[in-house]
Amino acid sequence: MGIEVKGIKPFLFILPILIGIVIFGYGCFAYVVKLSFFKTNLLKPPEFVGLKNYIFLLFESKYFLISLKHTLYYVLWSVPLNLFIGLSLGFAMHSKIKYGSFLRFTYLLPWISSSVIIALIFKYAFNTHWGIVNWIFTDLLGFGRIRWFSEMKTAVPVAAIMGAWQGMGFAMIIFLGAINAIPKNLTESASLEGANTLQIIRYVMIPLIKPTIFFYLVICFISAFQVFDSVFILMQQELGICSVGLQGSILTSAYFTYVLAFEGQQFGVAAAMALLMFLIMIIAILIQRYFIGRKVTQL
Amino acid sequence: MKNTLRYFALILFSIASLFPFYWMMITALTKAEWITSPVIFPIPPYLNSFKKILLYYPYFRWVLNTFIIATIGTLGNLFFASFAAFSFGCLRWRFRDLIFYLLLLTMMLPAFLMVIPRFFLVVNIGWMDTYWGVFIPGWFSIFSVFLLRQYYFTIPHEILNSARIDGANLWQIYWRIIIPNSKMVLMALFVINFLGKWNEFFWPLLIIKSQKMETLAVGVAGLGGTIGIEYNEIMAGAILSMIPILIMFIFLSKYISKGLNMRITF
Repeated sequence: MGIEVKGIKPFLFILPILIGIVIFGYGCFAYVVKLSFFKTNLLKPPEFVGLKNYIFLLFESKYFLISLKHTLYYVLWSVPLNLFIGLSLGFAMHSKIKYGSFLRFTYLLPWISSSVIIALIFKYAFNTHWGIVNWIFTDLLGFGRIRWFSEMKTAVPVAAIMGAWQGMGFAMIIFLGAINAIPKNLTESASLEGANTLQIIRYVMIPLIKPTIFFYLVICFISAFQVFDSVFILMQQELGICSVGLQGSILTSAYFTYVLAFEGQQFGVAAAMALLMFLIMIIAILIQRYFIGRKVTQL
Repeated sequence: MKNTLRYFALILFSIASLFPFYWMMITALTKAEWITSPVIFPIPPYLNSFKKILLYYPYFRWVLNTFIIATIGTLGNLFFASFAAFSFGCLRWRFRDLIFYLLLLTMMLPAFLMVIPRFFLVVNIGWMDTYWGVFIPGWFSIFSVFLLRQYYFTIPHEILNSARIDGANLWQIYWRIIIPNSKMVLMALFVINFLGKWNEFFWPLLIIKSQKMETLAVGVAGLGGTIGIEYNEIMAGAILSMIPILIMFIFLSKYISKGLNMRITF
């Protein structure tokens, strides 16, 4: 494919991006690997410490396991929520409806706004004293005030709901594309055979869009696994733009890496943490591929 | 019956999607002391919070900063990407695919892993607190190359070959044939990349140190942590920071859905 060209010319076209990726991609990756064996902050010259950073994280610091637990909890909330909302929106939107483009606009609105704005809205909506959620819970329904952000058990679901809310338009577009690609005669013949809408969705559509579901599960997992912006804003101190660090109720892995590097100035440990996270992520994706991917290809 | 259920679900979702924005507006328009119980619409609306943000914070400077960073960041990204995609998609040369797949491997590297080394790099070059430090690392994305390459594959090669026979050089082919033929795709990619860079938070947060250089996302996030600020002012700041992107969304939504579809169906 393409026109045959000899000599250096085609290479010149890719040279800028090649240099850029060698520096900002491969170079940076090599540097982070190197950094994970050193102890350094921005002022001191790096000092080689061997595997100490990894040993510290895996066996000495309790925060590594805590951060994994919080990340896992977030993923377990976020991925099913996202999938459920995206699929229901996709099925509900897929054939012609009135005001379709207006509805699309409303679903995409959270997606185009920055997660900073969204986290600020949720932070105040879930405020213990004057947030609207607690107003509904106490003044309307008569429950006690819930301190949403005081512990992980309630704070992580709030963050996950926030993420799902922001991502619903994106998920809808993904599933809408897949559902619209299903040949019309399949669903039509199913309904002629007497299947109702739910049966068509369950037995015709879902099996056909399984590859998309798998693809979405993977990207949803990847983004949930490295959630940062929203957690940072939710855990932001009332004074100045820095976070509550390790004392907050949510400590996901990406956030822990941030705290280590940019609040604790322990860049070596942070590099080791980021690499461990990367490794866990790759393993998790391979496992997903093994279990779900096999089923997908069987179809 | 089945359509009733469907519309019910759709309306419920769109209320869920719009309500937080509505609530944000109400909060911004209500005086802080009044907010003990929510109202449908505050009468009279309290506009001082907007005034305060515009007066005491460099809002327009933030808009300008974000605009510069997002525009140059996206343009650079597309410029280099379309260059490379032309070579990978329309030309045939030795090691082409090998180099492409080697570059494509970097797509696997997640952002949180690259932040620390890139931060060191920016510090060492001396780009802290500059626009360069924010947008240059984002210029080199193999993902944009990948998407454009997929599109360039679909350009008929007879056109390229006949241009070649007529004596056009590679640069002319790129500039006169490829670029005019991919305007729509480039525009869609531009809009979707621009949106991402406009909303980017983590990287500018690390690089930008002075209030004058902050982007909208960082500036508004900073409002949330300022002493003595009322939450109606924070919400006003959030609304103000949404206005530019909202305008863009309304006028360019065609490109947004096209760009989104490109990203998804690669």
